[in-house]
Amino acid sequence: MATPPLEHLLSLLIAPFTDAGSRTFWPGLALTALVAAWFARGQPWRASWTRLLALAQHPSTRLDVQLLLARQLLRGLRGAATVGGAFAVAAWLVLRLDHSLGAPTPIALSPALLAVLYSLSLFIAWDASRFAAHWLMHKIPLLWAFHQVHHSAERLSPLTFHRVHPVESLIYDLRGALTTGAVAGLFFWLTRGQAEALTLFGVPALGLTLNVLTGNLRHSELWVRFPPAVEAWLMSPAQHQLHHSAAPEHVDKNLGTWLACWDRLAGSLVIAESPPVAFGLPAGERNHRDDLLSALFGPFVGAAKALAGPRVFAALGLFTAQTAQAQDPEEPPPPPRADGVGAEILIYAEDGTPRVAGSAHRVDEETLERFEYDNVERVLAEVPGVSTRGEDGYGLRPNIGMRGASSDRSAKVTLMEDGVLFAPAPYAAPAAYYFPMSTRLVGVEVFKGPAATRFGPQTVGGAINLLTRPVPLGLDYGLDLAGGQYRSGKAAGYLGFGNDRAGLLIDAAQLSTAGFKELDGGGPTGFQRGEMMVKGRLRLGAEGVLELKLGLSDETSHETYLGLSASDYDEDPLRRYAASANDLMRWTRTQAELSWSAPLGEQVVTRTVLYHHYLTRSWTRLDRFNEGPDLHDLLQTDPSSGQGALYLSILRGDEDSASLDDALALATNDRRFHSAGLQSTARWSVGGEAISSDLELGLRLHIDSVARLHTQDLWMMTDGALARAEAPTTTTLDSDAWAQALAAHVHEDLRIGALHVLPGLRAELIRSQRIDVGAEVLDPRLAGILLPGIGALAPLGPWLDVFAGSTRGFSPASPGDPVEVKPETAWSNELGLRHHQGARHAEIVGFFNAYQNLTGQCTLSGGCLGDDIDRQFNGGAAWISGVELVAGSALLLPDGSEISGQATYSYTRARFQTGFVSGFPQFGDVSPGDSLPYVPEHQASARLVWSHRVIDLGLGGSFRSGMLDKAGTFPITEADIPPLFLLDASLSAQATERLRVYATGTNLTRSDALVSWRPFGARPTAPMTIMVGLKVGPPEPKDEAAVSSGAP
Amino acid sequence: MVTEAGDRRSWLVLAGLTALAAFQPLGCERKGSGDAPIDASLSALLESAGPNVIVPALADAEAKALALDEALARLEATLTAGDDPAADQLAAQAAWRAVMSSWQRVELMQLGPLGSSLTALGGEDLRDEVYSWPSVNPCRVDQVTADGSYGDEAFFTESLVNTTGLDAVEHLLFAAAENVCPAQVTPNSDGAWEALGPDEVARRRAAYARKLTAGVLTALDDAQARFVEDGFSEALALSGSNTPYESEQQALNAVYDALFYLELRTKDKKLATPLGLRDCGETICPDDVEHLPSGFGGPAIAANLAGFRALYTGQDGAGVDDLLVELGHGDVNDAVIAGLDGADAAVAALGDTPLTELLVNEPEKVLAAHDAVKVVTDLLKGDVATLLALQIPAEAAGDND
Repeated sequence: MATPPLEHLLSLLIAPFTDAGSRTFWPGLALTALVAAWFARGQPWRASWTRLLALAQHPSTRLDVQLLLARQLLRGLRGAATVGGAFAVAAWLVLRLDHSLGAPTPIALSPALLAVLYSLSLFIAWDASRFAAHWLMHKIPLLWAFHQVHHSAERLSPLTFHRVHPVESLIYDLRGALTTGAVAGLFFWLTRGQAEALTLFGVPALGLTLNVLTGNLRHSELWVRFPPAVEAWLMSPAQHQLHHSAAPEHVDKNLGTWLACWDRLAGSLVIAESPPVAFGLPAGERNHRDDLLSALFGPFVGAAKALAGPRVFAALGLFTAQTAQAQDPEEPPPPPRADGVGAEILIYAEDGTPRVAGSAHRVDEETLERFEYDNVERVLAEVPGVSTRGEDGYGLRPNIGMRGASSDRSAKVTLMEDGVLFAPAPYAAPAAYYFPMSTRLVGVEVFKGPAATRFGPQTVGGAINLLTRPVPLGLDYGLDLAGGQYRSGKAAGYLGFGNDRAGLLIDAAQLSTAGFKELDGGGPTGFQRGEMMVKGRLRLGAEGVLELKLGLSDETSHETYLGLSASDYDEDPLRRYAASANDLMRWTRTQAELSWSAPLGEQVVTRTVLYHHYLTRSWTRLDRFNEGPDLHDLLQTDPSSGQGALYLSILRGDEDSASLDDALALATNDRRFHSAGLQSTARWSVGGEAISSDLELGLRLHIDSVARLHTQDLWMMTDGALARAEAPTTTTLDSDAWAQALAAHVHEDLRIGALHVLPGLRAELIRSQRIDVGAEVLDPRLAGILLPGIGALAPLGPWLDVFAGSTRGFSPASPGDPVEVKPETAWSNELGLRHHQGARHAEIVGFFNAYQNLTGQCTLSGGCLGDDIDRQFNGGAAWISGVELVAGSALLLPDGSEISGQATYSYTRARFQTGFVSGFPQFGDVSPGDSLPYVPEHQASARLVWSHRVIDLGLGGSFRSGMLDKAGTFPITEADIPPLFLLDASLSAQATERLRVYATGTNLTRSDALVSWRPFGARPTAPMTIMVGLKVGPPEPKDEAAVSSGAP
Repeated sequence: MVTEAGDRRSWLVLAGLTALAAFQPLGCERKGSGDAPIDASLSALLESAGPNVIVPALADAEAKALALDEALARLEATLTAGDDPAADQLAAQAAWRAVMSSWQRVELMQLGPLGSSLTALGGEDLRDEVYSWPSVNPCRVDQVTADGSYGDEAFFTESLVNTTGLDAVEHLLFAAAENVCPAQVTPNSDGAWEALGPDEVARRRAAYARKLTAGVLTALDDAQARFVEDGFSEALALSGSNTPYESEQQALNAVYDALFYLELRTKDKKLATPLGLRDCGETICPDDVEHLPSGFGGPAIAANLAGFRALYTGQDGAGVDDLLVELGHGDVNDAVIAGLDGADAAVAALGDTPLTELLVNEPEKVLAAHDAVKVVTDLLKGDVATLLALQIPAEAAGDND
């Protein structure tokens, strides 16, 4: 039954007086009227009436009424949106506590005592949070712009309580929900729901009593005060009237509601002695007049002024400051900064503190060398917020995700080497089938959330920049030879020399292994991989540096998508089925980059890179049964009966294929990728000590393409081996896709004193098309997007920075995606604290990414098949939030040895907000609140290194909690990915001046936890592997002044 | 600090807000659902499917399988006695045809325990225990015949579905005396087959077939027990205590998936593939027909259509047809029924002639049967799925035609 309009309207408008939770609940008003009558006793009735009429007709009171009406009417329109906020907070808290600490034994207290305790806690928490919010309203100009609507009241009446701007109402509603929810949740958890607050008319009794007794007198002109000894503990109505006083001595005083202790702690308590002369604000301070529209919109203008003030000041004052500085002979302008435009992106202050308003991490060369990681997944395990999904155990084609962004083939992460995109086709096919060898890297930089917006096209999750060895000044060389289990070998070396004018570097590495998996019937499962890079540097003119980088890489690996069934995995996780015997990946990649770095004048440095990458690959591998069940489902279900058991036997080689129906389809996916472009970055740095500006402008013109020719051959399992079936080769996909992209960004780092404000804007314009032979040719798709963002970094002390940022992230749709597939967009927000003092550093960051549309990128490795490959699927709205912690330190021991360590922890909560059914296998049938697949809730790592004279001992451990294989809810089941703990160690000794010997061990606890059910079946983590090796290098410590790659 | 114009505008805005707030609840009032009769029809359909359709079909198949068992016992006895087995062989073949005719109706009812453990909610692969086509391997059946492992106690627990079930019985009853294995594998490579001789092969085949029929009877018994004693009939209607379905809609989708056999198997696999309409190019592919040894392909398709009609109409109980009518889409239901009638007629025209012969001599008849079945499956994939908000099985989302 619909409520009649007038009845509905009336109930809305009288709610402030009939709702027991409202300050102006009618018994309180009645009592106030009685007090007023008491005050008016003995005075002529007419005079009192005239005064009341004057109060009612005063513009200030009229605005009180208008704001009250507007608020109620708006509430009627938006519905009871805030109802349930506290309940949601409480429910969340109870679930979290139950999940983390388990359900406690209920406290054995009498219900009455529990009720008193609960009511008191609620009252105190409520009062304290009101004080805190109120204090912030007065101290933060942005908030004051809204709160002053309440303070502009020149006459006080009980209705003034409702004279509040909607923005302030919202803040107070949120505060109320959080406070009530937190206290209620805590008591519910402790008492398992036994605690109930003392209530009257359904609202907390204590608050209601105080409201009725004195609440309405606070906003009145009736001077009611308590004895000073009482006012020191309990706020009187008179004290609040002083809070509204226009007198300067009363500004920002008596901010509390009921208890005076908060004001006493803050030093803002004033005892009521004499009534204020006038209420309100000085006219010059008001941002609104006494009418509704002005009171609603004026504060926004005021808020904008509060925000824009410093920026306007900066814009106007920057050049003045610069000119003044230039005229000061004592203080020459600082030299242009080379960082930020070179291959290295991360900016550090002189003390080593990252000067980034956002999450940025760097794994340095020392750490990379310490554990001799040849698997980039291991390298990234110590970066909080980064998750990986293991596949081959070597990280040949890693699956890297960040802050909940999908990890499939690292397609949702911007991947760069020396600042240049290196994915085979970053726009048309971002799946990272190529990833540089971590053996030859000298640094890994990771940017997450707002810090990643300078780098596109993937700006939701983050960006990774891999640093290659720079051309040295002088002579530098190194040789690294190692060998170990599973006939694994490594040979890497580099030789470089140069002077101020020119230099040359040759860097090469070769890895090979027989593989740790054992193929049924025997056969190779390992790989060979080689990579060579040549860099030449030439200084042209006084300042310009030209650098040429050429690269050649190739790989031959017997890699497969086929894993194991659950029961076979339990028996021998390193087994490989006979059906994968013919699987083979081969690729070759060439890379050519020409960069030009030069200053423009004294304040601008530029770096321009022309690049071309080419990758050709061919992967033959078991794709599916010609007609049979999905391999992922088959292996995960592990049936022991029916046709499923028969198909499993065929995979194992125990049963023969009987017809083409159960023949094995081996796909040979040939792809050729081109990626080329021109990118230029200019950084303009001006300013001095007081104020400075670093303005970065970037432009990239990029084209890439992928040509796919996928064919399929049928093979019969016969006597445990594969035999070619009598069936012709069929073409399953013949397609070309291309993308052209124009990307531009402007990023300002405005420093005022120690405060950095970093607004930025990124624009992407992408034109793409996919042409499938035999299919209708769709017109090229054109997409453009503007991605604003802002960050700030401010010191809270000599060694403590606070930073925050908010930005819009984006991940483009794939060429050929149907128009209903939307690009991925999200607002990424973070707030963090960073401590850095000498060797000690710590960082805590909270983030919240609100996806408007999260997309799933279909890759074969992710379990997609056929025409879905490289297409995207809408995932709707999703919220991803979490906390990341890093802490590290170093300690010099009396014996001269040093112990250093670092620990990280990440918590990630990634949930879909909407329900839908998706063709993307990892999404499937999604309900609102389901968690994202392959996003661990908890991740942690720790690294400890002990260095003593010539010996170094390192221990590193990483933990990842369980992950879902498909969107759903925790806890994980057998069909999901169990937790994983890995322990690695390294030992090295300087044998001679030039020779160092080392040994490394990975997975020392012999974890055999499966790391993925994708693409098809259970896949193991690499087993314990011991390697020993030697390194030859120059006797002296390497020249720290080596020129950073590409930097002038 | 107030201006007259500002004050006036403010009151105007308030008046506007008042009007909006007053009438907003009317616009947002949730309309009465009116879903009750549809919910009732859906519940009735789910309650009826087990007891009125599936269990009787299983019971019928079991009765026919018992007759097969008896016929095989006679055949085995005749062969053991060294008498002429011709009459008993024919009788056993007829009994097998009767079972298969009955079972091909159940093929359309693969939901819950009858369904695949890989794809059906609550699937226990019981269908595969009875009949596993297209996962058949006649050579493996010959190998088991030769090595005699069918006599092992653990035979059923150690065997895969390609050496058990009515499909293996078909090979044992209808195949030529020679085995179908290549020369380089057993029982040819080791001479085992030749050593047995034709009489022993015939005796073993009868014994093996009898053993398999016993397995089929057990599976049919198990299947009925799941529906009746173990309560899957109630679970399908979500009234049982242990249901694999989260909602009635999901249970309805399971019924729909079972009906989809008509698209994936009957139309595509049994008709379109042998006709050369898919996979094997433009020529016909007679070797791909179902029931190659027995030539029972045509009647099997007729039985499929009967099974479809039974589950679709719910026999004496509620069915999908009632649901469509209740929703006001009687026209779609009429089209489905008319399509089924047409398909029945087109398939009946195939008679008992093996499809392999028809494909060569009268391919137009097979094509007409295909086209007639397609009329029904097009409606199933189109209007029926849309109107009942059903999800088409992933493997059939793309049109195979």
